[in-house]
Amino acid sequence: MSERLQQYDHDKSSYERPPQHWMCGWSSCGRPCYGGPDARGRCVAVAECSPVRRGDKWACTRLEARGGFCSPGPMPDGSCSQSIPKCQPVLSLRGKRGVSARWVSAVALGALFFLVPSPQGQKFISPGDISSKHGSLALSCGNCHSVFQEGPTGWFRAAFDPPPKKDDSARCVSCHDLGKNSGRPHSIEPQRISLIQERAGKRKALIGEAKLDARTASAHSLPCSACHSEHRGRHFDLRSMDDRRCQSCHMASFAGFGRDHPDFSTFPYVRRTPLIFDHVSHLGKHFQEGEFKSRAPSECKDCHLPDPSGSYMLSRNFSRTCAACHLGQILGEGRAGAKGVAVFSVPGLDAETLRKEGFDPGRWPRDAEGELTPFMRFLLSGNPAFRRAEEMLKDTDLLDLAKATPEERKAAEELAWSVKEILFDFLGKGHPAMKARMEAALGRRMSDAEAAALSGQMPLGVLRAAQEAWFPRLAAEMARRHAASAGEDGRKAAQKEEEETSRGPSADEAMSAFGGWYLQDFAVYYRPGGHTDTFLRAWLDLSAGAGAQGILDRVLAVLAGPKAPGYCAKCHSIDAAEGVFRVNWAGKQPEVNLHDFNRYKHAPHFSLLDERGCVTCHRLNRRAEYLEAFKGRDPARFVSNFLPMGKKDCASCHATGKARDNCLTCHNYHVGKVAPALVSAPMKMPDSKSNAGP
Amino acid sequence: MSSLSVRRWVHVFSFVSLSSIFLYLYGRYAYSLDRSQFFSGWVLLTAIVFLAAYNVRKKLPFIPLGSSATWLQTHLNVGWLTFLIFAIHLDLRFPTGAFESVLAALYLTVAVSGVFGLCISRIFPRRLSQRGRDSLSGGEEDRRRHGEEVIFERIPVYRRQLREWAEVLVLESAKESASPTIAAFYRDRLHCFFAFPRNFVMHVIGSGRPLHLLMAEFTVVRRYLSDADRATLDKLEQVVRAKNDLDYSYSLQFVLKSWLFVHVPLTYGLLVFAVFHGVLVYAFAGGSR
Repeated sequence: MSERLQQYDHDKSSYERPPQHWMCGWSSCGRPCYGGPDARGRCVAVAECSPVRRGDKWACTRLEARGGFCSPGPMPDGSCSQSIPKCQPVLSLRGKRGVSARWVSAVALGALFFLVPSPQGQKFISPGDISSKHGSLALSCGNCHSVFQEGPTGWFRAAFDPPPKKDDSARCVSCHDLGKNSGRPHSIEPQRISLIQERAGKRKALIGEAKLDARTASAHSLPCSACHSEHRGRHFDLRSMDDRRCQSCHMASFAGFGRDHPDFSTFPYVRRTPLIFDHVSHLGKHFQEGEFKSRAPSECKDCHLPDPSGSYMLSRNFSRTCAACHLGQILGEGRAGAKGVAVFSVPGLDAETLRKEGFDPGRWPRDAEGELTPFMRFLLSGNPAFRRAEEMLKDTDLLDLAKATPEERKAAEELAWSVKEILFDFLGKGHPAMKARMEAALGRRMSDAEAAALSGQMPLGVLRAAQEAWFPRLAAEMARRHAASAGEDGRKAAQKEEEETSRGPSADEAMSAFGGWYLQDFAVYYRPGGHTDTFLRAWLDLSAGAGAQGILDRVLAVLAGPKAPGYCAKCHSIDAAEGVFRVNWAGKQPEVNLHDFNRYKHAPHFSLLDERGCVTCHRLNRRAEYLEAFKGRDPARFVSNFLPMGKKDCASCHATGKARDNCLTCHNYHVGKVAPALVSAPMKMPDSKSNAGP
Repeated sequence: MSSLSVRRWVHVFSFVSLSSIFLYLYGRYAYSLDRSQFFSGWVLLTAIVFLAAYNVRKKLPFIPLGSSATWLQTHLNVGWLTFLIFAIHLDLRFPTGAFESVLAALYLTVAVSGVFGLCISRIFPRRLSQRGRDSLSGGEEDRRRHGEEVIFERIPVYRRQLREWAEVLVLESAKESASPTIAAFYRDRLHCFFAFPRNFVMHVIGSGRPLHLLMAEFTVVRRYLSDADRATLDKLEQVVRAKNDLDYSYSLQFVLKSWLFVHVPLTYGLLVFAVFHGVLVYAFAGGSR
């Protein structure tokens, strides 16, 4: 067989048109007609040729490919004698493909039209499981997506809405309370970002400023979904974030922590320690002295232990640390002067001169030579007459009134009676009188608990002993003075008052004696009862809270001085904050759910330390003037006992290919109080139906 | 370096360049608070629309939009690129949601069918061309006889033609010879062989076993024939071989054309789902973009 199947001559081969949609129905039989169907798939074939007239005859024009001239030739009327039977045209492959494409498109659209609005539509369009922590929200897309309720047409509209209009963050923060700045960068107010950038100084260029500039940050609101991607599976960590998300604002890109991250400056020391403890002097001096050597701690963990979260190293309590050496100091052991602080006193007064000049200070101890204590000044400050007298006498020597003016002598007389009045008042009415005077001085109401702490539950016996020693006829003197100012009725009342006072106060049983109060010379002293002394702490808190310019500044000066009884301020620093002072009674205490920019967990690092232990990172700074910083009240002005840590301390491990070195390893994004999701549960008794028990 | 090698290197360079540009832009986009999936999604959708436009381009040959060869090569480069974009867009994980799973499956089916089409369009034409050269040691005439390349649409015509030739041979044999052996052989074994395309799968996988089995039957029949009938049988054998080659062409060309029945229609389904996916993503983005 040498004949070729395929001929390509123009008259032996038909021209194939594969792109055409329709083919002759006879193609499958191997006998397609020459013309084929029309574009609509209709058979238009009639005959195999169209005869032409040549002279007086009709000539066949059938192509050679179709068999050439036919033997019958054309019909007499000029029509072809070889008619073609009609066929049912069939789709070409291209045509079938087109139909398939249309079917698939129609099925796809139909599936969307029927499935999406159906009850199963929500499950169908869900892009995946949500995290297990949000599992209860999976019942309806509308729990998180407000646009869901609008239906498919609403979705199409929402797709073209600007992003702020679709922000569903309010639904997130209804449970995850991040405060009023939840949508702002780092969940903090823009002013704080400005402050951070100012403090950054030279490093500002490294931090970058474009998007977090305070001028523009206020206009920015970041939706929660910008960082937290849901529908990533039940076990997906919603907090995980790529470093590049951070670097979108922090323009200076860091290829890695070890390579490009700015070195630390004062990390981790951002303020002075709340408790004053000079590590250098203790480790280098006190712990080496024979007397204390046996009591000194031998390891860092003797004084510091991690908190339950393992993040912070906290100081152990006083009894486990400082008490071994400092408890006796608080109690006044070895103290040269008074072991307590003078609370009530009889000031020295030139009573003889007053009497000579016609004034009547009453009986006054001749040997008294001290000054009014700050406590008494405070308690008397509620009395306007005393305040005037105090103002008049501020430059007057009360022990020598010979050269004093009559007004000053009158003021000295008033002061004397004010002192007697307060003593008389306390003896007669007890602690309520003390509370009333403190309220008058402060100009505010005071709780019984606060008053009890501030009174030190002073025992009456000490006051009575003081009165008998200082003013034996106090009741008679006060009765006479009251009578003189109140007429005949007053005299009778005064007589009655004298009788009652002479019998002693009726509230003796309510004022049970506490240790710590004692009488010495012309003052009633309070001696601290040990660490966490309630009386001293209450007065320190009160006086510190009044600020530097308050009426209690002298009390604060007495109690917070370097040699003050109890030595409270020797270890407990006092910080200035917004015009008042605050005594740091405890060391650093991590506040639950309070996030700072930086975070660090001590506990996971313990196993990595060698024999140097904590000193691996916390290297003592022997030259630091640590205690100097505590002479002021600004906690930000400080010198740490330890040298700042360098980036290299961390980067030796936290590097690419070793321990994690992404931003969120050490930094929090949300700064401030990040409260857990809480529901509002009304405080009411459930009704019997809803609370039906077994 | 031949022009083919140059073209190949140009294509490799084009693909690497496109990938690099995408990865660079994606990397830059990641330094933002916008979701980078939006960027990769838009690029992926644009790429798919461009790939689908190739089909439109083929329907509009009269518009000067570049040669089909250029379009095809660009189609291939962009198609490979979509694998990369798809993987990045999905963060190298298969979605778990029903709709997105269908969407991803549609893309993968279209893409894999495209790779399949690319592979067979590289292999099958070569097999078709080498059919004659590899199987025969004869000259040009043999190649014409056994390695003839035919137009797919004409195969039914040639099949009919071969069947008619065979029938003529059988009828002539029956007239000239009193032996019904060839006619019976044709009726029992060859009639069905000539009626339809045969041994589709065996031809696709390149197996010659069906022909060998048939030729073995020819050998069996031959021993019972006279010399004149043997000459007729030899001619019939040639026609059978030609039909076998025609079936081979049909099988391979059919596969070459039929993979598009998956690739093209599903592309439209993919586009419908992708657009709806975009609507859902923008509607439920929760304020992010």
